[in-house]
Amino acid sequence: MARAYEQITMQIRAQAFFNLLNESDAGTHVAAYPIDLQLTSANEAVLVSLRNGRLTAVTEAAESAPIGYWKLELQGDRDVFDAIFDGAWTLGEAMYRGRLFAPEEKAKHNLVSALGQTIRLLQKEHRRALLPD
Amino acid sequence: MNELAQLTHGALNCVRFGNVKAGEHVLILAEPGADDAVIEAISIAAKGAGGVVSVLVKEPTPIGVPLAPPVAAAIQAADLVYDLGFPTVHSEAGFLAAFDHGTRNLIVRPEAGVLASEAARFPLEIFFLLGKRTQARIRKQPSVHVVDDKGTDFHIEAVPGAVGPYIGPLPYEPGPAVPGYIGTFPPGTTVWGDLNYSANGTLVLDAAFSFEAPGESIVWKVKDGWIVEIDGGREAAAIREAIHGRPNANRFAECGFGLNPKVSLAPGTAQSVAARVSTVLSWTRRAGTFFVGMGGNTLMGGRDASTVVPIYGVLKRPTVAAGAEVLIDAGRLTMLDMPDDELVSLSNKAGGKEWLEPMNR
Repeated sequence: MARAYEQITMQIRAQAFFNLLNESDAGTHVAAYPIDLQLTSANEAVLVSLRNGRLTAVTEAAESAPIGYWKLELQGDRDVFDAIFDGAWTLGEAMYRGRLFAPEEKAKHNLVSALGQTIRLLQKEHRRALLPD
Repeated sequence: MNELAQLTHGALNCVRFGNVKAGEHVLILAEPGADDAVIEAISIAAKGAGGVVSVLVKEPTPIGVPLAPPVAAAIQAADLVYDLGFPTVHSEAGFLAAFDHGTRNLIVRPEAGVLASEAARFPLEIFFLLGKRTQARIRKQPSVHVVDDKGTDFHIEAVPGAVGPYIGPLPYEPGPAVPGYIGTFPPGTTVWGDLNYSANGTLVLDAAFSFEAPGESIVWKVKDGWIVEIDGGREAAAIREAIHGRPNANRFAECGFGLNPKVSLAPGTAQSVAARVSTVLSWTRRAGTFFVGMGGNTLMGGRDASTVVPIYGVLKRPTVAAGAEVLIDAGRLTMLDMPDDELVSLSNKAGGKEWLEPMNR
């Protein structure tokens, strides 16, 4: 599983991961959806705003914020999100194992699938960024 | 008229339902014994829409066994899979295809007679409208009670966000297939998971798994989201054997009801186990039936993973109420019995009000 990231907030990790949307074409699949993605672990909740396939903001999520029309919440342990940011698990792999939970999956399957494709492409971009020149 | 011509209308509707676009890779996934005419009709229709068609014939995959790597790679590389065999969408590779690769996957009844039927020609716009309305009803009145004259007495509290499927470009709304779309052809259903472990009661099933006409009714006792007893004859014993020792295989994964009044409840003609499973699955698409699925629920957004693909059961003449509103009355979808102007207008555009009338069972 992922390395320990206790000293780094999920907000910082999410920012670093989704930032590559603004330097690549990885956001193609979410471009049509103005998604507010909420990542919720036991101790943290982060809101990742995606517009036109780009990252516009990563903020701490308000505890009592309602579930909006374009909002998509993913719930999991912190180490599951770290595994995704590290490229160890795709969104699909984490969900298939029952480790990542989308309470509105059935009603927002379009958003979940678009996000899953985006995460897979972002992981590829991050791997590419590590390649030697 | 030759056989292929009889399949044309259904095949065109199938391709339209899959939303095939020019240049897309369409994979027809079949098993030995599949009907060549069905493969050919869908191929021609998909190519007519500009799709690039590949056909892969694989052996049926037993429950709990991963797909062979070449099959897994093929479905993840395709834009759209027409699955004529034992459904791959519940396998890990099928799951990843939908969630990480955006593959659209439609489980298709493999018999030519079905592709030639009115069920396959059912107007998609009517199906989407029925889905939109029934999903909205369940989200608004999530307390669902199901009874029938055989002893079924079942209750579940739906979670509004867990009600689907066939979601198109907009959240909460059935519509044209978008990447990741999962469904069956002929369509279709309204379905929801049991994310809050609220399912309780007794289900007396008319058919389940591959058993179209069990010698004795198969009875599931459900307690707090788990099937705790499976009673009946040899068919019930076979289902108990299929799930024995497999974690979460007895989870109450999903339930819902059919929306297509033209789906026949006649027995299937194909002989393989896979085809018999798809027959029972297709009955769940018949307007007025209620169905249940037992197994892992991660495809519903749940937390209970299992290697067992859902084992489906169906009630043919249920009465289903959402809150105080009766949605199905003794096997009849009430909104089809009393169609409003919008439904009538849509059906007239598609050829006549007859589209709203159930075909003989």
